[in-house]
Amino acid sequence: MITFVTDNEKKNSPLEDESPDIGLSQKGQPVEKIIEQAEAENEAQSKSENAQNAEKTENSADSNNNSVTEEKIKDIIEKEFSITEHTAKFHKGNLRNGMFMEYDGSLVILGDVNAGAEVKATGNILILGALKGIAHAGCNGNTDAFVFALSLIPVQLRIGNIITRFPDGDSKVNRKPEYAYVEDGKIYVSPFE
Amino acid sequence: MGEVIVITSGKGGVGKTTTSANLGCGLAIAGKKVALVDADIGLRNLDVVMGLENRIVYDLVDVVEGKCRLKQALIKDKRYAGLYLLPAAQTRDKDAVSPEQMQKLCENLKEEEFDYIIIDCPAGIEQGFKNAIAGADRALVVTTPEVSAVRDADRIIGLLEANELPNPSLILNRVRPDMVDRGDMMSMDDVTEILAIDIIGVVPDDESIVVQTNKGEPAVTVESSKAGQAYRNITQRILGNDVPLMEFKQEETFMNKLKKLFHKG
Repeated sequence: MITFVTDNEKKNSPLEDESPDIGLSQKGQPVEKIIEQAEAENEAQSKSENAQNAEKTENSADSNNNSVTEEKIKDIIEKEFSITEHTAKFHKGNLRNGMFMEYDGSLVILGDVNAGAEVKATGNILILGALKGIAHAGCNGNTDAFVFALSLIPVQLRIGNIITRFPDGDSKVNRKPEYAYVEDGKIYVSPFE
Repeated sequence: MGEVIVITSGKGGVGKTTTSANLGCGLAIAGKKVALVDADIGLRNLDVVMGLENRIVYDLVDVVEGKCRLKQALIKDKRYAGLYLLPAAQTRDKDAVSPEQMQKLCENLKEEEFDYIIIDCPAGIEQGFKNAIAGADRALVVTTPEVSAVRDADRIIGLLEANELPNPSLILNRVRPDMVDRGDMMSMDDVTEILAIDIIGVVPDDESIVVQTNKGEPAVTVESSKAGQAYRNITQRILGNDVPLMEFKQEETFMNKLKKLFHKG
């Protein structure tokens, strides 16, 4: 598992959390549910809390069928035991407005991800180009995933179940490689050095 | 063998029809045999811009449905030898034609010994767009230096690549050099950086376009028109000649000089 040294000085403050009124949903789930789920999973930090957590997810998913609950439990187990290796998919070329790429593993894009395009991976996302669209790393709830881009100026960034919106403006100034990762339930962006 | 060029943009109102008319005229003036095809069924405009509206008898849908022969529907432009227009139907919609039928139509036009077949694509990415690009060999993407138009152009380029029409060329329309200088408008470099495709021409925002469009005579025919000059340059580039991109220099009027003086101070 690739992990960044987290005692690096964080130059940037945590990005503002997405408010539910933005109306984003993930595979048809209502936004409220995602946030509940995110909260529930953030609390699950040790195995002793696992049972409690499972209860919570079950409660929040009353209306959902069994398979969804199973998926969630599977997600939590995966998270607890931390995936140590990913397969990775390489894509050469720009992803343009309206294009969508999803992969069970890590994604490496040799090109730009333009505004309106979306990349989603259960593992990490590396973009050797500019990220101007939406990236979702660790989309099965893995908050150990990270997003790297030579120019990290996305519309929106998601890691695990955490969604952030990037601050408006200064989008053209940024040209340095950066990566985004999760710590204490918040997405941080640090320069890659 | 003729070349089929589709003029597309995604967003409406960026100048697809104007560009089609001007390039068609320009190529005809250069001595080529050109067919302009209006693929915007139900919202036809190219005939109006060309000033040929009153001569329509048969249209594209009639040809496709076999109600008339191709030659009957082609309107010959009397002003320029070798320029023909195939108008769209106004009372039908985009579903009246299928991509396969358009492909066949393009092949038939090539058999008529046209050097260039220019297809004016409708706005949007639905049936009309799919029809328009079906028979094309090459695509020109028109955009204006606005965020919305550039976004749509990006989507269109992606769709063109997915439909085996790679390497489209870009026409940047309605550029206002004064605004670019002030930093209020995206420059050519800004747009090409986002879209990452070759630029084939930059057309300045020009009053003469409106005047000429209303007259039904494309601006490319007017010597003094800046936009006309830009379209003449694009025509040359389509023909394979290397023409440098136009440079827009503000005329040094007394007021501009005065303004510069103040800025320096």
